[in-house]
Amino acid sequence: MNEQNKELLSALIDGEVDGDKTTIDALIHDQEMKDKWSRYHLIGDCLRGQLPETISGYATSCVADSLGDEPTVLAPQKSKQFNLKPLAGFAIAASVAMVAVFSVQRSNDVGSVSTSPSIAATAVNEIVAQPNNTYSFPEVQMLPAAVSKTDTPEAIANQRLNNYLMNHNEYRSNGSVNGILPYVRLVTIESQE
Amino acid sequence: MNYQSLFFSLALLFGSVPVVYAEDTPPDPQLLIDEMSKAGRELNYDGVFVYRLGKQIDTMRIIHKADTDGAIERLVSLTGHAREVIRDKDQVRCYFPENKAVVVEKSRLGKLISTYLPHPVKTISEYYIFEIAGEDRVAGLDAWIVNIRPIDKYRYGYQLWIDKKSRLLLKSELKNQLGVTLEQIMFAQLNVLEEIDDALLEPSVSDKGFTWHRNEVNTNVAVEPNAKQWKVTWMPAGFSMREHSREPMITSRMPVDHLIYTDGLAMVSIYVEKLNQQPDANTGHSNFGGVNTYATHTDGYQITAVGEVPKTTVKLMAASVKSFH
Repeated sequence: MNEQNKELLSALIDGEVDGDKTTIDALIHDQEMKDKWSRYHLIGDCLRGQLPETISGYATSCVADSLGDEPTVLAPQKSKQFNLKPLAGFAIAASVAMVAVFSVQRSNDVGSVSTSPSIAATAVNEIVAQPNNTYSFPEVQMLPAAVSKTDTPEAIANQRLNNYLMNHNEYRSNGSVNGILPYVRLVTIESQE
Repeated sequence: MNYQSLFFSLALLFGSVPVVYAEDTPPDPQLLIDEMSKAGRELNYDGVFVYRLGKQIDTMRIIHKADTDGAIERLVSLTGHAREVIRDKDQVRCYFPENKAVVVEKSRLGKLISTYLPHPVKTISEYYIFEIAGEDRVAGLDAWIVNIRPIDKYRYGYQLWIDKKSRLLLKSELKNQLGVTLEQIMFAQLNVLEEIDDALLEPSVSDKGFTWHRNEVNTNVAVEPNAKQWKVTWMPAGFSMREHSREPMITSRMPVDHLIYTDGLAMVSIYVEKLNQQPDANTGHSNFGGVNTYATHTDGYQITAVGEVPKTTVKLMAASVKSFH
């Protein structure tokens, strides 16, 4: 799958582009793309905590396999993960939800990186090893705990983005249809611990 | 003299005439939005709303006091951590009790865009279509539904529920091109009040032992000689640069270039920061609710676009940033 297709697939799943039948047919014409499509969706649902009560054994084994192949989809990765652990000790955005959303967005980068499996990947593997069981989602919330250092370059980079978001929100709050929305975001980040 | 005219006479006597809006005939959608912006600024209100992002739902209370020298607003989270944000004309204080921290930012009220939407709102009607979509009931109040639909795929749309009587916003949905709701705010209760007790605008959390982080803008930022100038060379139709500033940030040794582009409704921030020792800083997309970001590197600088626009837009804008002397 070339980069352009990956981008398009990701955009389709995010609902960013209009997925008419022709686009989808053209994109998902082979097994690789079909697998990728369902995997992206499943991983996305998983990270967003929107998994159905039970999922089929086929699907779970599919995810387990894919995690084996591509641990970085879920694993904190040196320059890719976005746990927004602040520097100064005020955790504005070290949320599971945040990490999850960021990770989903980054799932189209899987081809370009590879690293050893991490706690997060292991946790997911443990869950999906029990197909057809009903389970809730908290296990995967180990994600942020996997990184605790705050002075690493990636932590600094995360904090930088964090500051940008705050700064943007503050400007935004004066120009928005709804002046309070940006602060609403700030207040809710991390409230799902 | 009937009750209503007596009321008006008294209102005139005391110098304030409450606006009474027609509630039956569908109003002009653009006018309605202008009235909503005005009501949001000029009324005193106290309300509870839910905020939905994906499957996450939170409840918050907002208290807004209109003052002669600017509004004071207090936002309190009723679920999860007891966070609060208090904003007045000078500063924004964010309380994070779970971290015993208060973050203070300078309030830019009125500095950037003096009204919520451009005046007249018609100026953005080239890029957004406004229409009254129907009627509904929210927080026990009758509301008009207004659609704001973008004309292209580079921006998001809104659906707004506006109180027929007070013109306050009762519900707001940010929607992508396919009509999928990305974020939602909905009031469960909203009271318009004559006066707001000042005590309601004080934080309920004790800030004893809290660390104060001040990120207030220092206007005396020394501009380096020969500093690079930055410019976005691609943007959706109707966007233009609204402001360019250099801002010190807690995490950055050097002030960060901040360029703001807007079409009057959507806003994109471009941050340009010189990288000192973090060659492996984050690049690529990230997303939080309706906000997309895209980061890229050029020439030892990190360029990050942040905005309530589709990911394509932040990506294309970030990638188009060029420097010139």
